[in-house]
Amino acid sequence: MKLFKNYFTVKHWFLSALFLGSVCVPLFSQNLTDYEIMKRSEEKSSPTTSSYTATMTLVNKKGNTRVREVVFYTKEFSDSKRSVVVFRTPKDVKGVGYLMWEYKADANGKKKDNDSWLYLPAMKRVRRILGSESGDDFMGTDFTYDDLGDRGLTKDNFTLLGEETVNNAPCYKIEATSIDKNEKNPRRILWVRKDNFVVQACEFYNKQNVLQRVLTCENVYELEGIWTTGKMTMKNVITGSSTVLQMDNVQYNQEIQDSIFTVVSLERGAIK
Amino acid sequence: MKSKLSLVIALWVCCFGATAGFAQDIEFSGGTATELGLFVQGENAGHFSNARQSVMGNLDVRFDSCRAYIQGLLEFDGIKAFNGDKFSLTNGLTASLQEAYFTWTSNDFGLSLNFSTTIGRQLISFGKADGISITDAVFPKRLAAISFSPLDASKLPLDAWKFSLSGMIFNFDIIYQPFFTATSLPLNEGNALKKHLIPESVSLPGLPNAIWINVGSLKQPELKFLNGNVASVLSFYLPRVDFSFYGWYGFDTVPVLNYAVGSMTTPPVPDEIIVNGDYQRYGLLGFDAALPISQVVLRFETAYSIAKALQVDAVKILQGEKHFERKHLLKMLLGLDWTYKGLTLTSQYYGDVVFGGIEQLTRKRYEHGTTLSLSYAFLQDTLTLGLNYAINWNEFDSYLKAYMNYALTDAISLRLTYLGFFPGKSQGEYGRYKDLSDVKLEAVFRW
Repeated sequence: MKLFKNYFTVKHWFLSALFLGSVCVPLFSQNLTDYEIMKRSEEKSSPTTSSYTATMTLVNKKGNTRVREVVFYTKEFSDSKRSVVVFRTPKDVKGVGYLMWEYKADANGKKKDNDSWLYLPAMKRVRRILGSESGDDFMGTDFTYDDLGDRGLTKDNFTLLGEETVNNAPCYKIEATSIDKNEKNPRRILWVRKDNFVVQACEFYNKQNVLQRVLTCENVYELEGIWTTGKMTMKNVITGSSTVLQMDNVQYNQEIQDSIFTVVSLERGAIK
Repeated sequence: MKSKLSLVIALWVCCFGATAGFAQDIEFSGGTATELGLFVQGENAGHFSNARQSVMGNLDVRFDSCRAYIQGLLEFDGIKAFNGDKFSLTNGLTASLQEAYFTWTSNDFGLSLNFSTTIGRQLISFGKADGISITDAVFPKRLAAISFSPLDASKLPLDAWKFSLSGMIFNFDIIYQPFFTATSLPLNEGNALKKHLIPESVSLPGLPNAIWINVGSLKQPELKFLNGNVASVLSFYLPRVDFSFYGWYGFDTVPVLNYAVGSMTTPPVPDEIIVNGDYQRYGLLGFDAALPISQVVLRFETAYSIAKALQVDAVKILQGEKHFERKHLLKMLLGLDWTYKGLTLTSQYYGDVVFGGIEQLTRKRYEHGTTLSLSYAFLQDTLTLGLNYAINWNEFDSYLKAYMNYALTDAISLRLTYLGFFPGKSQGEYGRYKDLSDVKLEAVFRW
């Protein structure tokens, strides 16, 4: 049951991780309430398929490290975006797979709930699962599901605070306050690069408005016209722990068979 | 029979060798585990319940659309190795081939359809229940011990051929199992569970001495093509719901036991009863579904067993009745999964009912129970606390497993487990194992 518990709630975390900057930021640069601009930007920046490996290194306050590695595939379908994530390490969860079908909004802007499945190799069985609470920690890391998930733009109010330079990159400084004040981090400060609109850094404040976590983004590069963040570090300044998320072997618009994104494919252990 | 098995092994080795020879990807992984347990109640309290070391190896070879996979397990059981005052390494050692199969999968051939076949020793699971066998009851289990190595599976593999046709939202499997595999039972001398299945002796009113009970043989089905078990599954994975239909026909993996008087004393009264067993055919139709609703996933599973051979009471058998009666049986389960802030809860209610007269049988007409599982992980998922509880509502007997798991590193984990069995109104299924309640410490290293 530990296995089941730990990965029961895997969400579409990785889905948006690569595109964090390119998806969200153009909105900030023009008009924080301009939903149509954001939507066009999102559509333009999304590849038909993508794949990569992600390595998460968890560092506790004593400096001890733990590593989790996953392989990730996603593909655009006519009605949905489908993603599959398979764990390579740690060894006790090697082969655990997660499949999600994220449905697109219809003409009225309504979306069906996502469908998600989890494959547990020890049980030789796929289980239908729910998503998770967006404020939950992801797999014991310092990231939450919400940090890198597809948060959208309807959950926050945005304020342009000014311009600052971060790591030699001129940035817009933006304050995002959540509409739901019960969220784990109701206030965030983001630094957005002026040249490519990629998030360079972010501060997360807790409900008491105390700085809790700091995100730093590195290795930002353009691949096939898509701005990609290769490395993200999240430090929890209260607990002293941190998590480094590194994306490697990134590929866009490669041919990936439709059948990879099926429950059967998970069960066969076809993805690794 | 030997030549047939040799042929199968040779074919498999050829397939594996061919794949390995051209492999694009070969991966070896495995693990080792050590366990030490103590009984905590009854006359055995303080004695070792468990002293076992195990090593597992996996070899995964892939080439293009082919895959060969082998998993083997070597175990040393310290308790089995000590026979009285003597130590025997060979008594304690067991080696088993957990899985050894070869898979070929076609490319999509239109409409996202593809075909695959898997041949060899493989673990196959049916159903959506958690820890309770409804449709999965057709497959053999490991029932020869209360607990198994953390590297081991709780069920036995099948030597089977599986053919699959699948699309984006469905999968259709046909499984043929040419070689029968029985559920492993605790019938060996020295097995602490044996007396709970078959007592050493029985005292009958009017007889001066106890009658000894000895185990004879379990007659397995003859090895021939038509004696193979067959199964099929049609599964659908649709928005908001998954569901599957199951069909199965074959030999029950659990034997029905027959009791016969073995020897008589002078004057003629029985002083030995011999227990033999055999495996009987039956059919099964099943259905399951899983539906995410709001914050929970609801699961439903049912299985209708057709003409299943059920055990007749031993006294009735000794009085001349047949050792089994064929009955139809309906099993059902309703479960839910819920998660909140890192807490996972799974609960299930299950029951099964026998149709027709039950006067001769050892079981009740309706048997039912509930399971509850809770787990919570924290400290960056390194520490997990959990419990599994099950209660049988017929006798109110129950079982509790509470555990604490700590991941020392990414590769090494430690687990402390308490396993308790509690009688209800009578001993019940769980209560009769109360003296086997134990505390166990285990360490696992995976590479």
